[in-house]
Amino acid sequence: MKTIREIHDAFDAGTTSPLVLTKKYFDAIAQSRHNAFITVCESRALEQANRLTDELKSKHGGKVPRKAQPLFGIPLAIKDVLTIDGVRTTCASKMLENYVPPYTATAVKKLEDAGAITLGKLNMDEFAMGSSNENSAFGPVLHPTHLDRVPGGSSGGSGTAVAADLCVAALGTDTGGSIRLPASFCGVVGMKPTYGRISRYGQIAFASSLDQIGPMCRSVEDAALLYEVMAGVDPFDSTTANVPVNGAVTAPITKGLRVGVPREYFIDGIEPEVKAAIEGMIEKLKAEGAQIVPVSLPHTPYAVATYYIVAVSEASSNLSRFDGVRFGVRPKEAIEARSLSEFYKKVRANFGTEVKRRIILGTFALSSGYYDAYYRRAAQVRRLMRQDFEKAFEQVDVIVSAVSPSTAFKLGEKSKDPLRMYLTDIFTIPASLAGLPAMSVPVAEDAQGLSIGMQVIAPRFQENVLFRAGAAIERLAQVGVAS
Amino acid sequence: MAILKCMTEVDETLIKKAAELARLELSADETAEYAKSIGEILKHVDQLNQVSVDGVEPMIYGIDEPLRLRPDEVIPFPPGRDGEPKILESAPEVVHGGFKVPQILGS
Amino acid sequence: MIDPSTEFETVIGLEVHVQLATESKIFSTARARLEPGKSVADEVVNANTTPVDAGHPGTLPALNRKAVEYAIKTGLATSCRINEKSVFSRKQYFYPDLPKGYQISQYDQPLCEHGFLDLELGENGDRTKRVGITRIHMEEDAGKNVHLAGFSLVNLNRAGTPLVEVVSEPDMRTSEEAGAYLRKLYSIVTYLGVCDGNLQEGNFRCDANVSIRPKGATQFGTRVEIKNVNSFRFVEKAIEYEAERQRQVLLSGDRLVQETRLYDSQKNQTFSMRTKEEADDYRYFPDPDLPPLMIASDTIEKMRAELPELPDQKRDRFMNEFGLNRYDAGQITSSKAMAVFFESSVTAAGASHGKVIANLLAGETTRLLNEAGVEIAATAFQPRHFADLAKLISEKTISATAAKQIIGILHSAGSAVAADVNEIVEREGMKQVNDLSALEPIIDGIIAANPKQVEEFRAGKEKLLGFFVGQAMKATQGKANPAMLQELVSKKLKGE
Repeated sequence: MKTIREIHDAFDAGTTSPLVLTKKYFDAIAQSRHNAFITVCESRALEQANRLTDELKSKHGGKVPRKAQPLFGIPLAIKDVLTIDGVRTTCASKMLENYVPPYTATAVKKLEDAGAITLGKLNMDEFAMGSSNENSAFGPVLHPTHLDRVPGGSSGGSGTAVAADLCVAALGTDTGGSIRLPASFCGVVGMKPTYGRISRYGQIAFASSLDQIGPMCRSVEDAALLYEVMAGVDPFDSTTANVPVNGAVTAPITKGLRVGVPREYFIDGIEPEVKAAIEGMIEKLKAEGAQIVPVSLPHTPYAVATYYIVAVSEASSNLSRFDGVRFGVRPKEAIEARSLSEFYKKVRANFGTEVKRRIILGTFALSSGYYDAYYRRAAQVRRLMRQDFEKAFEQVDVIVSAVSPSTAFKLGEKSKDPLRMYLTDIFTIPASLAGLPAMSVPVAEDAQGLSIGMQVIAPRFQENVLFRAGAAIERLAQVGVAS
Repeated sequence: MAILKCMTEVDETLIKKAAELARLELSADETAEYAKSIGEILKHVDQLNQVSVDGVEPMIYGIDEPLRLRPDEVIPFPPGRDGEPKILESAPEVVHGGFKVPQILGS
Repeated sequence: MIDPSTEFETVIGLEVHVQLATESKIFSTARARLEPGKSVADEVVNANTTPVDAGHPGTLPALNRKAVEYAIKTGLATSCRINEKSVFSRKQYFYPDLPKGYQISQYDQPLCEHGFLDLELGENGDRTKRVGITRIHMEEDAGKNVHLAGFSLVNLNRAGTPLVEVVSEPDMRTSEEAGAYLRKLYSIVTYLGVCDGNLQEGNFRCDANVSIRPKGATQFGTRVEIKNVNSFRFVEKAIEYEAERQRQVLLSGDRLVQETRLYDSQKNQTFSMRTKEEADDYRYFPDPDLPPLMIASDTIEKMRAELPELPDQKRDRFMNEFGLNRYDAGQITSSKAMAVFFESSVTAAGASHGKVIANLLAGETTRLLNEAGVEIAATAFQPRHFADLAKLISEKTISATAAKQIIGILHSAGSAVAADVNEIVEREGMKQVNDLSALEPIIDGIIAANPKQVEEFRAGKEKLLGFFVGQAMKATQGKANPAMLQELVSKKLKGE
């Protein structure tokens, strides 16, 4: 499986073209049993591929314009939570089964302007709510290699598509770990930038103060490339940060790198092979000259509780617009409703079980008499968690941990117990709450061949540190691990 | 208010009330199931009461910057196919160019 | 049972939604203002709606700088404190004209607080009263619902129009005070240019909160909200009706219900809105899509220094410059449009005619405008009409009464923009008779024909002067110069 640079080399050498590559992917998608895609954009993508293949010859003399269009001719797939004008976008929900947005997400537009080809829209947990991609109205996504297991969620389609070579790279979104977890389970690189780096305009909102778009790729270098194309202030998104996007550097660094190891992330309940893999990588970093520093993030145990109040509260509000009036599915029962209240209820019956659970919980947490005790208090603990990281980063450059206590679990294993499912996010949630950039890099496999990812977290707006540390881990991981 | 600090009793009444505010219709089974699962979640959430939060400013926003302002410029949304307002193309039911809903009066 | 002789006082609070006259909407780039010459009815339904306005998934708000500027100016002109930090919050409820299922508004940290308006009340405006303004906050307008048989239609053209909501303290006690408050606030926002002031298009909308309590009581009574009354006069009448209705309810031993009512101007009654669902819990929380709005104190001071001449200042200036009385000056400065109209008329006629023009505008013109419920910009009146009238009056070519009639003719002629006052005078034969030699014989004739009244007058019944003047005026078909006539009749009766 090739990286973007290798593909561009192949275009230059004439051994393949955007059109040939795109067609190859459509064949692979058609044959795959993973259910990774909800919508395949065959004619649109072929039109893009044709045009780019022509331009390569006629405009660029057969040489890819890598500076001007860093993603020239690269077939990508987009999580179905991001809008594309004229292309069905469902959020894996019955509610939006027929929704065709009238505008394109800023991040997607940037990728396509940089020459990317959009193969299709990827399956996910409904409205990005889930950790296993079992909550989709279009059926679960299967793990790329072990078809009886989950790929992780909510960007399960993205993780599987990249790992199973159904696209070169994919976009996922991460609110509490939804890029990092599937990246870890599927064995790919998944990165969530600092909150505010990439525009959320066109990202169907789950939790407004936590959501971020991020790349899921075969290499840290590819992830950095996609990040650089997408990052930047957007006048349409008032929460994008006015901080300069420095060109993403991916030269690996280990010597002198201060690596923080948080004691609260090395608790009982982590699978022994996961623990061994993470500790093993830490040893390798040390051997390469990194300074390993024990740190403490004392409020970590409160992460899941904090998240499942803050995120669901915002979500309950963001999902109020799904009322069947201006877009979305309007079922027969709604058309026949005799009152407005009945109308809304019949429309909103199209939400899945987990979505409804979170809406109820969030509505409750914001309601009169409970706001202070739940929402406000959780927001206060959130700040304390952020302060934990800021203190730790006074002593270290990055913080590492496992992404999840386990490797990919079996379909149905945790889906009956919501709280148990929520606890799979225990290591990824804190970086989301604090708005920090974080990445999952595959470092090992367990005895069953299931991937284990290491999480790297960097200080706010220091994506370069993140990429450089990630690249180092990636290089060290390839030594001795069949990837 | 000391009462709010105690564990919230999650009974079906609470679930029904929240569901009503959110315009969700639940079956009896669903109501019971949500009461149970949400009850467990809130039990876990009650741990937050152990944390000392005196004087801590709630973290509401993801960025630290103040609100950016946009110039007062009109950029209309272009019409869609056959010159009709594009915003109607995704609408479930359109009558006389408006979004149709059941009678509001009497609701 | 309440003692039937209990004296009640009415407690009134007003909430006014002012549409800001920015070019684009508050959170989107769609057009906010009507194009010049157009009305709401001219717009294609839902054409002026972006995905942001329609609350499409994935859309986000971006705040219009000018809307903030206009909101601050409104706060400064009403003596409010401008908060350097204010926060946008979501007010959540389900309604078809509310696309996101929440309205972006401000809740516990509004932009402006603790202002006031000083009102002049009474015939001569010599009773003053200060009414507090609790807060002014920014928010977005909702769309519009149209009700048809069996279903409703939603038009989102208006959704996202910038609003400021001005909330008064419950300081008003009479309908007169409420009317004065509204007129004053209206004149301020039109003066500032932050609001176009078109009442028919919904630029300035008032909700009145009315309750009553026994005089001297400190607790507030049950509050009733009267929504969407579309003229100042109707607000006054609605309040009067409602206060009396509440009094009757209490005196009959019943209890009042806290509710929302509407006003029927035909019947001059308030009536209960069909019971809506129980008031929703709005579940306010700070909108995470909009970081806090920070206004630097020197920005505030700069805006304060740049405020234009406000209505009270202009009124005082007109009184000095043109020798106007307070009432006339107040009337012609009641809206910016009217003040500009006055100034243009005076420019056309010359400053010496200021007083007469003011009198015409403040009197008959204002009366007609109020009756029709329109502003001067919506009529065919032109400044040159009034310049002409003033000149004709000063030349004594027409009487003041005739001028009034001409104003009426201009108004009812509809689009009489091209109408010419001199033409009308000719056509209607309104030229005054100023000729002494023409009047004298007429007066002589009337005196001769009414010897009895002449005797009574000379014996002391002074008011019979009116009888003679009236007769003489009739004999001239109303064309006599009234002042001249009166003087002449008086002279002749007294035997001079």
